[in-house]
Amino acid sequence: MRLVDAHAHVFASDEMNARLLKAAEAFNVGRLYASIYPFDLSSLKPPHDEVRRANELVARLQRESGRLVRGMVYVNPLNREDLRLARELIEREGFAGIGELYRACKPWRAEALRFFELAEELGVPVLVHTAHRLYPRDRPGEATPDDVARVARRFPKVKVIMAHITGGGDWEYALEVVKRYPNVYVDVGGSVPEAGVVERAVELLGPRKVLFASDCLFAESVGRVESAELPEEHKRMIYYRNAREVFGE
Amino acid sequence: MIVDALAFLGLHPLRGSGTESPVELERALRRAGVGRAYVAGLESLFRRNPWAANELHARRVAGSPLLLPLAGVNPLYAADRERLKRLLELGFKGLVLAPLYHGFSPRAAAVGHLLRWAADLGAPAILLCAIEDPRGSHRAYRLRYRVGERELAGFLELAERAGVRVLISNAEFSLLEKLARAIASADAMVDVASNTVYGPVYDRVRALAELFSEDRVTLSTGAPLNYPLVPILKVLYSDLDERARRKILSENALRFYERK
Repeated sequence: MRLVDAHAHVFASDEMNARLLKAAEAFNVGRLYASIYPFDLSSLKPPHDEVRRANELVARLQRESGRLVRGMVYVNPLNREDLRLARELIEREGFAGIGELYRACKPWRAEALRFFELAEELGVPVLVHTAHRLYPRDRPGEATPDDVARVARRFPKVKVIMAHITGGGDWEYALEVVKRYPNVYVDVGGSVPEAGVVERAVELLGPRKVLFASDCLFAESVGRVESAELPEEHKRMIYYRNAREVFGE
Repeated sequence: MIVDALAFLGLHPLRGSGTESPVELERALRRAGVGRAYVAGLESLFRRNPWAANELHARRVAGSPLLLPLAGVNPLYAADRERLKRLLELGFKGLVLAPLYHGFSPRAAAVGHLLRWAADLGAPAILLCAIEDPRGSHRAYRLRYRVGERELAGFLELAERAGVRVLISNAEFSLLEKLARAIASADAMVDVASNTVYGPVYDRVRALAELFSEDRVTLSTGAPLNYPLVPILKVLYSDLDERARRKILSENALRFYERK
């Protein structure tokens, strides 16, 4: 069975996209839920036209990749028009969810909450970029685990994916904060190889709440899950079963 | 046989992972395909007195078919040539300097003395830049002695002057890039342990091989603090030929430690 990547990115450069697809193939990834790579945008708060063009690029790759890539709608919550765009992309282009909600503003701000309302209406998940850092402290507009908990509490019917629990920082705190919210999932994307994270996530949240994800770092993510001391059944859930449930496939 | 240039044994005082059991570490490494590992005792990096901790470590790994001991050394804590000689007699294969945890500058004169003694005794030295992601540092124990550009440049100068074999371990990719010329000039080895040495799509293992040649890049897993398969897969899936991958995964570490 091929792996399902719950958190990946498409790049502005064709060469990087070719590398992405090659790496996905090499690691036996059969589905990438991907939004535009945020650092390929002009700023953390890109204007609506740029957001539209970026999502069109993702839609094109979705079509050209034989649906290996499934789009996730990148939005800047501070743009009013992005809400309509998100609806269009999900309803007409078959995008699978909203996110990665990046660092334009905290997810609990009124501007961002509109996207959770839309996700609830359309029955799609929301992926929230989350920093688990202790030092230096979080950056303005960047979600912390407490912020994720706040929106998960407010929208109990929306599946909220807390991004890259393995992306650096105090993952133990992050897991403790979100474990009481049954609608929160965590993804194991990111660069940090610290041992014990995957096992602890399964222990605290349960094996259904942990999603395989690369954040475009495949060796790191596969290496973590393969190294984790977990039953094979739990690994299968992480690698593809849980994502199918979250994305309704 | 995969050879791990730097793993650890013991418990990190501020984090949950690690093991004091050589058998557990051997099992984790074997599962990842590692056949030999050079291992430092975490106690020798975190205790004030590394010398006593090294003696414990030597006893702990004695008889292990897989683990070979490295000694944590603090140049500011009663270090002298005789003490280093004694460590080598106890079977230690190399000397690990950890400025971040022992609290010294890698450019200090005492580091230069230690590197000269190491060269004289034929012992390789490992500069351990970090063993953890700084974003997760404990708030009460903020680590002050980071190895930045100035510190690493100074260390490389001392190493070159001493003529000692050195491995720069767990350095950030951007730091290695910036100091590529000084690293090459000191004939230093680098490893793929830092989380900033990304695997594919970015393939920074290949980038390191292009910067330093495939003869000067080696595998370190940082197990059991880190998942050992992560750096191994970065190498296996890098866009390098089979021979280059074999050097990085095996031959270079053996050459680094076992060359007399």
